[in-house]
Amino acid sequence: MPKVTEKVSRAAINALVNIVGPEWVTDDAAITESYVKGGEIHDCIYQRGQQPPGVVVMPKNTDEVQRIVKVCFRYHLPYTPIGAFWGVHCGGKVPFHVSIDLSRMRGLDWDERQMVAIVEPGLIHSPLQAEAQERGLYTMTPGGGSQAAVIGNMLTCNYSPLNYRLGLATRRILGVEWVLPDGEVIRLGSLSNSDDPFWGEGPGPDLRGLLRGYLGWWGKVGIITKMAIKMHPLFLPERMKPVERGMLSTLEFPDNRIKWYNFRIPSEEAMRKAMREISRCEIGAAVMRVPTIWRYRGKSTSREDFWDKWGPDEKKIRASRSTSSILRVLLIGYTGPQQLEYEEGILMQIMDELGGELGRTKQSDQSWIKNADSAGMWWPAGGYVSVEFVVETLEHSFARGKTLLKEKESKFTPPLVDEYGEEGWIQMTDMGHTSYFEFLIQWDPENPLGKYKSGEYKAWEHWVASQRTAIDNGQYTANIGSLSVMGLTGPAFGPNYGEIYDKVRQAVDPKDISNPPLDLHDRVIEEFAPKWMEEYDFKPWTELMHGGKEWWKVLTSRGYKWKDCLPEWYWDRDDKEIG
Amino acid sequence: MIVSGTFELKDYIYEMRRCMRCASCKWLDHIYMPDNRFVYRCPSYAKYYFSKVAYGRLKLGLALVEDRLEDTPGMRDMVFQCLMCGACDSGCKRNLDLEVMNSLEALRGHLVQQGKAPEAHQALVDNVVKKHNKFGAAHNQRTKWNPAQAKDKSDTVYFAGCGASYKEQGIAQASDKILGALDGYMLLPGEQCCGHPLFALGRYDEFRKQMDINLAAMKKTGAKRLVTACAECYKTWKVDYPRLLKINTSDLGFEVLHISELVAPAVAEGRLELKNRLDLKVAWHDPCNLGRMSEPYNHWEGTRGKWGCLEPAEGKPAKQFNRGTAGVYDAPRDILAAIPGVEMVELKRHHEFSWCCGGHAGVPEAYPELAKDTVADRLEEVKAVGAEALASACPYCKEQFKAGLTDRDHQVPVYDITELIALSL
Amino acid sequence: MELKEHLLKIVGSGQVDDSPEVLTAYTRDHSLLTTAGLPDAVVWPEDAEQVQKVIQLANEVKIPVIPASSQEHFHGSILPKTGGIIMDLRRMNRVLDIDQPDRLARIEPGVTWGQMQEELAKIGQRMVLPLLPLAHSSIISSLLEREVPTNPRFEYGEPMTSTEVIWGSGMRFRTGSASAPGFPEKADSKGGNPEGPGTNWYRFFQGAEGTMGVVTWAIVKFEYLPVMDKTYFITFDRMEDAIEPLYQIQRRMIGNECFLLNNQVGALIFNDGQPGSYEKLKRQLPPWFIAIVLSGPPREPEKKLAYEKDALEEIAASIPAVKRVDSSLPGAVGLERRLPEMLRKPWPAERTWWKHALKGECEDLFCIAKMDQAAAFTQTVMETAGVHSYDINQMGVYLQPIEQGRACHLEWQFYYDPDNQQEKEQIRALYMEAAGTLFKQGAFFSRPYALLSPMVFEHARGYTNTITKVKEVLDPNYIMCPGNVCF
Repeated sequence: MPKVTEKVSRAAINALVNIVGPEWVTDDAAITESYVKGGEIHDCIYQRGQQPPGVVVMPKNTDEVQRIVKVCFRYHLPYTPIGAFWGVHCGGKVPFHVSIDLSRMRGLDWDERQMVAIVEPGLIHSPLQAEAQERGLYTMTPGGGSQAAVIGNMLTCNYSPLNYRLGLATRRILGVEWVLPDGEVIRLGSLSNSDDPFWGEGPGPDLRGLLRGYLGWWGKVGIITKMAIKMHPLFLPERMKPVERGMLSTLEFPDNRIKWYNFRIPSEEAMRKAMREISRCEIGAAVMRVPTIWRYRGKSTSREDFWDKWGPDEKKIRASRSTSSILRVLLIGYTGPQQLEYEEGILMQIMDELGGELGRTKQSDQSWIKNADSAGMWWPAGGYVSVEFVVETLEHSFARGKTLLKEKESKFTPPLVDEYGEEGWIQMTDMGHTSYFEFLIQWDPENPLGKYKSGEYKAWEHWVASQRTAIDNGQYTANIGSLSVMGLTGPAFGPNYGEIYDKVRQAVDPKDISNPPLDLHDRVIEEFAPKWMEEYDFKPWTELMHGGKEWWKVLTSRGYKWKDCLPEWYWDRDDKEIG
Repeated sequence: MIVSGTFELKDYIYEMRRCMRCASCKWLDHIYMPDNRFVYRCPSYAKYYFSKVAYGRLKLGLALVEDRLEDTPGMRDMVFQCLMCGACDSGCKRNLDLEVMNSLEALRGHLVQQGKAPEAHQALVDNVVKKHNKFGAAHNQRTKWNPAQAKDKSDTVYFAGCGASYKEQGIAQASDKILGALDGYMLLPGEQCCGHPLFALGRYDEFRKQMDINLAAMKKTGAKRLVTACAECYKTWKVDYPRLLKINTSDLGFEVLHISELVAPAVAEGRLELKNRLDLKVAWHDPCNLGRMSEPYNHWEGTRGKWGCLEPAEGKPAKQFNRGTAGVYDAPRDILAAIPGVEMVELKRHHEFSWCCGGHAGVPEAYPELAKDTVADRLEEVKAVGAEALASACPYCKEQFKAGLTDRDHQVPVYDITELIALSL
Repeated sequence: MELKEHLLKIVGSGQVDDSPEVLTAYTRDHSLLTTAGLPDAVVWPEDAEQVQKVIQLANEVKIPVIPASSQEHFHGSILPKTGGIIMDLRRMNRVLDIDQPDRLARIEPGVTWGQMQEELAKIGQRMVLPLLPLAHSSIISSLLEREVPTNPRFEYGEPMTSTEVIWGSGMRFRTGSASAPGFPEKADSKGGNPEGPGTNWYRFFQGAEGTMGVVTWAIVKFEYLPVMDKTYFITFDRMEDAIEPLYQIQRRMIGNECFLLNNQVGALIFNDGQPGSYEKLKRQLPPWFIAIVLSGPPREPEKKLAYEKDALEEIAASIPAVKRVDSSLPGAVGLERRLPEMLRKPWPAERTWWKHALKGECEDLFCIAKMDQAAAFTQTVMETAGVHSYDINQMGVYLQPIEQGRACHLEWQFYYDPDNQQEKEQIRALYMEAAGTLFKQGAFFSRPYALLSPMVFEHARGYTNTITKVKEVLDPNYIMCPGNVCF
């Protein structure tokens, strides 16, 4: 395989140096090596094919970002924008791409009166939360964790139990400044008119439709250099106080204004009723059914400790599945302590009617107001991924959970960690109109298990199964758009959303340089492996993809030239052009 | 078989591969994030960005051990532009069970073996090996600081260390006064550098020799405890010596204490009275080597089995993870609280995510700008919390802060904890 | 074959008309615009299939299509600026599904506020409305136009979730989670998620004045009818004194419906239609007043009303400009009892719409602003009105807080006689000058209809270029409403 430094021309690198200065550009492999993949999950299909960049550049403001993108456009250099590099998708998939690392751009500005934070792409959630609370505001930290970049997360996920009252991310995005793949800078919302980004719609037809979606673009339609985001009024007289340290660090808060409740609910039917009734009564700040394994994780002090507790409890957990699950509710006295008192009274009435029993509940918060990393999910086995995270109605959440569990248990467990019948995490969103559902799988990426070389292989198949089951059952899924493995959902959803999805992208990125390709999409497969795909069905293809870079070896060993493995345009760029 | 604390890069493939780039090695504990100014725990990243932080170094290490990378012009800086302060390790261990610091130590050693260490480090190494102190000063001048109250024999050995012996003699003198007011002490005959600079520079073979000399001397004294006022020496004796010996700290044969650990209970029990008033609003700086890096070492051997769980070798206990939270944090704080007139102000980055002073691991010698920017950032933090003085428990921290105050508008006096105690006695 | 014959084949006899009388009716609406010529035809399709075929035909013959869902229109969006086929969707007026547990309803574009609220009231539910719309206004139109609701809680401002759309290219497509295969009969998805598939298609046709495609159904959220209400008023002499209370009320999440009116709008809305009633109210109402409805949910509503009232009183006590919180409005006897129900229904069909009641027509100038800007912007408009000899005592002002008061819809109403050409020109000139000044002062025209489009889109050149690229994918032949927005 050619060395990475050979393919980004000196002229292009020099152009970048002239923009940001020599200390902010590097093509040294000791550094670029670590830009191969984003964070989070390991050895999952999203990361297949990720390549180290040819050069990494770190701009400090919009002007530099724009000029860098223009260089990439001119030299036909694919680039991958990176915020905090937390998402697994942050790693570029094309060899010798330019990694535009936006970590230096951590700017944070405020319009406190209008409850707006104006952020730059390198900012993560915890400093935003800290400064928001100093100003009598708060933000919604996503389940992905505080270490996620705010803008990157707003463009993709931003799911949290607080979605129940605070709405979905698509509605939290206000004015936006956006560098398109051709280097043009456009501004959305009120920023199109003035320097004030306080409002996000329009003007006219709303281009925020191109910013995100389900699941959006993952960096494929340019770079957002500034985003105004809705903040919310803090319902506490002062900022939440951190207490304890290390694994136990958490936030203390006065329980007359914010309070958690864990209820044991006697049946699935009662769980449904409880969730609906709570929404109907317009109480609550968060309402969710908590997977059992999370409670075990939360109580563990190490992986070994986790297994000491989890393993022996299998029978007990299986037996209790249908008769006991945990409903976790957060109440907040937004208006004042009387609101919490009132809502607690209603909540207890509902629980009384449905047989819910209040359990011991710790009154401090690590996760939903100010999240620690979601890295804790790594504990049980080391490999984990959400094969599904979808917003739809409550019944859909239950149905999807049962569908995925059936797939998982019948085909993929082992080597996946057996969660003893877990049907996934459900939380109410949008005051009960919808609910968020997530299904996680876990496996040991290091050790072979039984006849399987590693759990990884099965995790991929499960992921494809996740799409297939969505198609077969008319279920919505996160595995669409840029997360569609093998592009399976392209024809089925819409229908044929894949067709216009790609056209719209191409309209703003005609040179295909913004974090290409469109993931593991049919078109990519056509371009990257025109002939050999015909020789294989799916399974051997995943084996081919196993190991990331290995597929180059396989292709070239079968007589395909390096040139055949990359799209035409790649070889057509004019490296000699001086900007 | 997995053996804890080795220095072979290949022994950390699990760590390097399983790093999930959550960047806990670079950010403060999110729960404690104070604002958008003091967000990092890693000085190397704060200055150089890119991936000059543990996650980047682990991936580099993996590429080296898997033979996927040859030498590059930037590789040396990538590895050695690191203060080896351990902040990354405690950050990672907030959530995971990876031995980040050990991996970085192995990576450093790997480059040293290949002759790729910065040239500026060699002088430091030579000083320790040949002159028995990191400054290259005359060995026979080591006790010139005047150990007035030292006895010929005692259950307590006071290990002054190079820093207090040669540069910050006030610390040694204050320690003399303090230990004299308690049960007395003796010096370690022929005291030499504990070897910390060698360890921090990745010179593990040379370090072992230094360790052997010091351990032999200590054994000869028959003393029950070794007390020091130097955080680096403290960590070296307490953690690194047992590690190389593949034993637990508790099996060393003597206790290792920082002087604050002796003073705090003495004050609480009334055996030592802090009576003089010092009117000071002082920020407390947790030295890396007294805090997160100083938890007792527990040797471990075993295998990694199902689900990646660690299984101890037969008859051995389960592995204990040093997460940095059990270092010496309370003792100095209790002492400061007991001194009349002293108001202690917590810095924004404290305890296991304390910000390094910048004076460690050959950085001032090889990368003076990194040292300078690191200490400047800490002094900004001191200003930001409204402190009027700064105190710590390490002569090198003190030196570094004094250097950082040169040409600075905002000036604060810098104290060692021993000096404050001695003033109040 | 002639166009009409093609259309007849698609929609059937009686559902196509190209007679001059019918065509003429579509050359004007309640806006200040008219067209120079006539559309080519009007069709009344009954389902999505017919809509799709008309659009496909239009693509072949390159004739524009202009969808119209409401029976009255206000902003010139349905005027055929370059001719074309008016696609009147009033026959597509079915409520296709009501999903009570999830409070989602699937409705066609011809479903009106009057129809829907009546339907939902039977099951104790309701949608959240803008301020007293016409009963026969299309709900989907209103939502696509981003009309601001009177209730700033719970993000009621975005009640639309999944949709079915026929793009201008003729492609039939479902957005959001309704895109799942087999929807609706064979799918577990219920269309509750507006996002995706892929990108957020639904945003492209919001605020688009029909330029991207035709929505053939949409899923909308409805909410519980409160079981108990209590209305309060806070009165002011000056607009600026009302702003701080509004901020604080919204930040503490008190109440449901909440807005600020001047006495002109108040008199128009709250008079009982009897002779002299408007004039009397106009004299007696305070210059400005906040109306806020505290509503009780299904369980123990009185407790909720009690704590919210306490919070309201706390706020009032802390602001010197607030004299008191009243449970009635001076001059409007019994309004406190009537108001909640009024706000949850459209304007009564048997009465002339309130905006037209004074002189027959009304031109609204509206923008999105920060509440702190409201008084200054209103001053600008008043000064401009004065310059154009418009009686500022007859200028309506309506401030609608949005979502916890983070912004507001700010609206100024100018009433005029539609048969008086001079008045029309006066209003137009006033409107354009005021808008231009406000634009420079930072007011945000998020939905700039015909008169304001050039000003807004010229200024946002990059935005315009990019949305045009999107348009060219979804409507490559520029069939849909050419001349609207920036196209």
